[in-house]
Amino acid sequence: MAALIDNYLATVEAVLAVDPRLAGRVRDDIEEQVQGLVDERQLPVAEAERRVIGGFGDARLLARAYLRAAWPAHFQRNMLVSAFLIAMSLLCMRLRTAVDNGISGPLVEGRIDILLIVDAAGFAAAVIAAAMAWRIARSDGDALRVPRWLGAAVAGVALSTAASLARLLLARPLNPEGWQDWILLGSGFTELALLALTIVCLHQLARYCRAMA
Amino acid sequence: MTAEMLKGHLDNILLAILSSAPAHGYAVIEQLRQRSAGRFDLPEGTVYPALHRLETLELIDSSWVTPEGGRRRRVYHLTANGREALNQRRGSWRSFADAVSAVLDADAVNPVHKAEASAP
Repeated sequence: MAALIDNYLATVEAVLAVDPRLAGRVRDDIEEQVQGLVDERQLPVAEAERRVIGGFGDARLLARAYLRAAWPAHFQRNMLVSAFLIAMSLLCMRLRTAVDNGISGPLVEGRIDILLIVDAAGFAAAVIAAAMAWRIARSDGDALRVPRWLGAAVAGVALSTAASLARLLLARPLNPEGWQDWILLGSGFTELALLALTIVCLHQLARYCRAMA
Repeated sequence: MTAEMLKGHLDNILLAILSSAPAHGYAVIEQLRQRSAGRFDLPEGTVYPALHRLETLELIDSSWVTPEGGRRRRVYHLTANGREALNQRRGSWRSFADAVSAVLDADAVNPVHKAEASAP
């Protein structure tokens, strides 16, 4: 393809960096349109390219139009994956609660008290952030802010989980032969990994929103 | 016919074009122009993203076709969901258009109402 089209596509691809498959789709559509003009109207390639670029309009606006077209499917996919990851992490949390029958309960040192505060604060922050996300989503406000607040909520839960795990590790020596400790640690770290993946997923959604705006 | 008036109906129009026969993007734009007697001369930057949106909504599907001696092209065709959606939208549009016509043409059909309303 000529430099004219290449420059145009470079601008489109810069906006669509968040979704490279979509960039390929735009390239296909433009090539097809050029070919249509060449085949059916017998236009010279350079003239066909000039006309097609005129028809597709501003490269940035075009890229955003494609992003908006793909947005519902993208949003649904990311939210479904996030919901699944959150559900799995809640399962891990529930497992820890069931096994942790007071093992890491009573606090003995000042630094562990701080961890308890971090645990509670993280959870409280998560609840507030989730409420904010819900409020913005309900008010049909700035779509970009919803994944950000959801990400903040998940980060709050992750902080709470990390503090809770640290409390467990500091409260008493671990018993490597007791299965409970392995379940507590295993589910705790799995939960952290799931929450980290959820944050990545929501971050991707926020990037998509920013490119679309 | 302004682009603004067409907004909101473009999806229905594209579905209607594809309901006759599968077509590639270039042919869809050409048919749109021909069927509307040149009134809907939409730019590619409007039609292609709309086709992509309909595809993500699973109302249309696309596949690559290589004609003999030609280059491969993406051909769009209506899905079962798309056909159902088109039938529903046709019904809604007819009902809406009838209602708007009834309101707009009321004075033209019965000009007495207008005269009575403007009398002191």
